[in-house]
Amino acid sequence: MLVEALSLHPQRWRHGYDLMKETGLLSGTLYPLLMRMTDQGLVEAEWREPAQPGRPARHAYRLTAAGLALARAAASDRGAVGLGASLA
Amino acid sequence: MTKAFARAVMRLAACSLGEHRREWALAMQSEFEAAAEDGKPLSFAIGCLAGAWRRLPADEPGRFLLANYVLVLGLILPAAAAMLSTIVTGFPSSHFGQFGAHGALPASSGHGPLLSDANLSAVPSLAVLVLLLAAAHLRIAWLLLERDWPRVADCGSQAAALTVTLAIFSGLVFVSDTGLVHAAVVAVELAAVLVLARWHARLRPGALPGAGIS
Repeated sequence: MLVEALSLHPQRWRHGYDLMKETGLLSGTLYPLLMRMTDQGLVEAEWREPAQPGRPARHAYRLTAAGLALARAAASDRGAVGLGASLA
Repeated sequence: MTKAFARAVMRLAACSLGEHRREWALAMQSEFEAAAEDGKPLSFAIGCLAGAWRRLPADEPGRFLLANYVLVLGLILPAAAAMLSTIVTGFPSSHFGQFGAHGALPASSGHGPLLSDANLSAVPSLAVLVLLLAAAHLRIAWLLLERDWPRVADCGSQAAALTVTLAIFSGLVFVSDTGLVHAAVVAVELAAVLVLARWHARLRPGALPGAGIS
């Protein structure tokens, strides 16, 4: 679900709270996932200046090339499973 | 009020992540403001805390942090509490019967078989020794959480010296094994502290200045 959300716009940096709202994941699920995916090299993270001055910088995330390849492979697997189920 | 409590929960989550995940702690804290603006600071903070605790066993620094807290909360603090309670409610030894702070009072009838008027007067001194040992335990617990190993070593030496004094004192004056019980507890604690210190040194080479723990 997280990989899918990040792969929709792979070049765009996304903030944690925005990802929470988009995916419906709670912070207790999202952040351990992001940590694990960053450790595995699937997600990259960086600090981004805030849109409004006077606010603190925010951490933003996007898929790496490896993460994007995994997302596309997972999407094609899902497509193949769906096709198989509809033919059965 | 809710936001202040949520901030405290966020601080706890940040501490729980440990030094090796400091960047992630800052990341969560920066998103906390967005959650607060959305009216959900507490649920965000509690989620971050749950996530931080779930991540702890996943890597070695997290497991070290867990072991540190288990030692402090599971052994050292309960030992200190047990020592403090014996001062008030009575020392758990069949020789003493039921005496403590109230047993030393003249009106009390809680004397054990090996107590006489002479050694009963030594009970306050025994209580002071136990109180000092309990205080040493509390200080060791605090210093352990700060990973201040040289001071832990100093305090541990003081606790060991107090334990030996207590064992000799209670053995000679009261003919009691209470001091040996304390000695066994302190020995187990100091052995565990040594294991933790070596583990920390392996995680962070150079963390031990060298003089404290060998």
